[in-house]
Amino acid sequence: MAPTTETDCRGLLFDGESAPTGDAVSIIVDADSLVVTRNDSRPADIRLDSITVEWGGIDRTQLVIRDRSPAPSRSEPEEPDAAGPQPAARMLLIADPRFLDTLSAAAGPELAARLDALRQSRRGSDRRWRAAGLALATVIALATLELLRGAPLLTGLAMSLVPPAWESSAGKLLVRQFLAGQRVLDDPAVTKELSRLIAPLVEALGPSPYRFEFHVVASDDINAFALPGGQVVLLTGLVKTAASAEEVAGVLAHEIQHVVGRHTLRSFAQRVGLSVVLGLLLGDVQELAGLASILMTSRYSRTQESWADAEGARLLVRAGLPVEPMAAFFEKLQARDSGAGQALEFLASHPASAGRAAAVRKLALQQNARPPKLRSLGIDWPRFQSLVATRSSTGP
Amino acid sequence: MQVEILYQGAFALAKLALEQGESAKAESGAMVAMSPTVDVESRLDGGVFGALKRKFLTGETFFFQTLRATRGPGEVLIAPTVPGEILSLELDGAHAYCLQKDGFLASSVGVDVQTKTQSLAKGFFSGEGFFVLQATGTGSLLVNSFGSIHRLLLGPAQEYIVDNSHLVAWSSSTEYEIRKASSGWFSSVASGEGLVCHFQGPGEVFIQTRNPGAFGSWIRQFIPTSG
Repeated sequence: MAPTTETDCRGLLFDGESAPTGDAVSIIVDADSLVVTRNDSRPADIRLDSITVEWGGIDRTQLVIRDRSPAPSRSEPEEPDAAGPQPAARMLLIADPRFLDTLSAAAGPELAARLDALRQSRRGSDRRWRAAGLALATVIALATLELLRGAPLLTGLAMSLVPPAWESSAGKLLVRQFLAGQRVLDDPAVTKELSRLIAPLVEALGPSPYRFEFHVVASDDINAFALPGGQVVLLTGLVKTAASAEEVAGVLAHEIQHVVGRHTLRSFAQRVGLSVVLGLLLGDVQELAGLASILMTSRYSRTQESWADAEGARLLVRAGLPVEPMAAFFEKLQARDSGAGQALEFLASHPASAGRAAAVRKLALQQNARPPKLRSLGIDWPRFQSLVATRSSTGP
Repeated sequence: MQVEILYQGAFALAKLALEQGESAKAESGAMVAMSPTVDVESRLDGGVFGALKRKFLTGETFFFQTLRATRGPGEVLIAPTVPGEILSLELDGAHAYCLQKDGFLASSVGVDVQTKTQSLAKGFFSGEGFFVLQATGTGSLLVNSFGSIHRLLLGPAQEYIVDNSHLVAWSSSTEYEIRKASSGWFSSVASGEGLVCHFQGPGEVFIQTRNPGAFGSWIRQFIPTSG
């Protein structure tokens, strides 16, 4: 296949005398002709000034050299003849594309220019195929990466198609499942006080596709979490730990933003897979049954956390509430977490980056630099704390 | 290496006669019987990477068997798995062939069998996958088939249309494209000849008279699905 010398090359010759599948020949490029020798030594030379060269053969990777000199069918050289072999034009087929360079070296200016154009066309199509191959490989690699990472983009896309109404009904189903095994503090004394805490936040949020519902659950864990579609659960441990109503407001503002950012559904979907989101898309809410426990252990990403922090702080500002207590509460949790080595639930399910409390503190300082007119929540916090403490120990 | 095809037809057998010191390579597991002078070695043709490429890209065997007549002249009997004729081709260094991806049966050591990437469109639509085998070099090449083998001889610029699943081997001097069988997409699908290979000469195209995939579907209806 490869040239035995600089100018000797193997090829196939098709002419009137050759076998139908072509005769094997050796080709040497002379000053003004191709010296073509059959295996039986019969010569079949072709003058260089009468040849045309193009790409052909399998995948158009071989050189096709046609001899136009006898020219019995010069008028229409490409005319297909379905009846059988066409002996008219002699044709050489050379598998080694490097023969093009050998030929160029011996060619006159006119032929050399044509060969150069041929080489360019090949490079162009090579480039196109390489580009197409690269594009395909990139798509496959990205798709693999996407699947390995739990398909965040796909779930994101699918989620953007899930209507908030379905998200809400999913959230209701999940919260019902969760609350079923818990002691819920839903007596009017608690909910009335709680609504004074929540109302400014929901009001400041403005129009939202979600209807927020807050549930207080007896638990020593210092935590609060959001479920899809506006369901927010506040544990009594957090109420007990917070020094003021404003601290709790900070946490709730943060949770509200998780709902608005659809973080719960997103991390949930990435955890349990695309099937659930697709189920939601098809309106099959039952798909979520039994998955509440998974949701409870869902983790948010750091990006989602800092987004909810920043947006939560902004929500506090819009509601006319101080950001400072939110920062103070986070700092308190962090200090307790590192100090006592006790895994606080809030920090565990809301992973803290080192600078998280500091970032909220910065937002608080910004607010303090241009102090707004702060509103008072008008909640007697110690009284509310003891009310919650009593209710969670005695039950409804 | 002398090649003789015995019982040509559905249950063909190839007899390879080897001189002392001569060797042949065959698809792994193809050896049926041999002289005691012959040794069988498994060999990674083209190195581990070449073999891996062959295995995973074409489904062709990872190992080639090398059959070497170490202790004097000898003969080896070779048979393919599927019932069908064996195609015997002589390569002279100028004629080269492409084979469908699991078509290789045996060859002289001088024949180089490589995996060849098809263009994207051909890979998607030819039914042969993205890869075919290309045999170059000199010596004998044996190719297996399903059914009998029919040879199409195409003159320069002569065209012929072949159903993908009937392809066995074709000259490297031919050009081919994947096209719809008929003008409309609906009739392409409805006629059962969705996409076909459109060959243009010069060169040979060897086709098998039966379609292995279609035969598989046909026989499946007789296999009880539950016990």
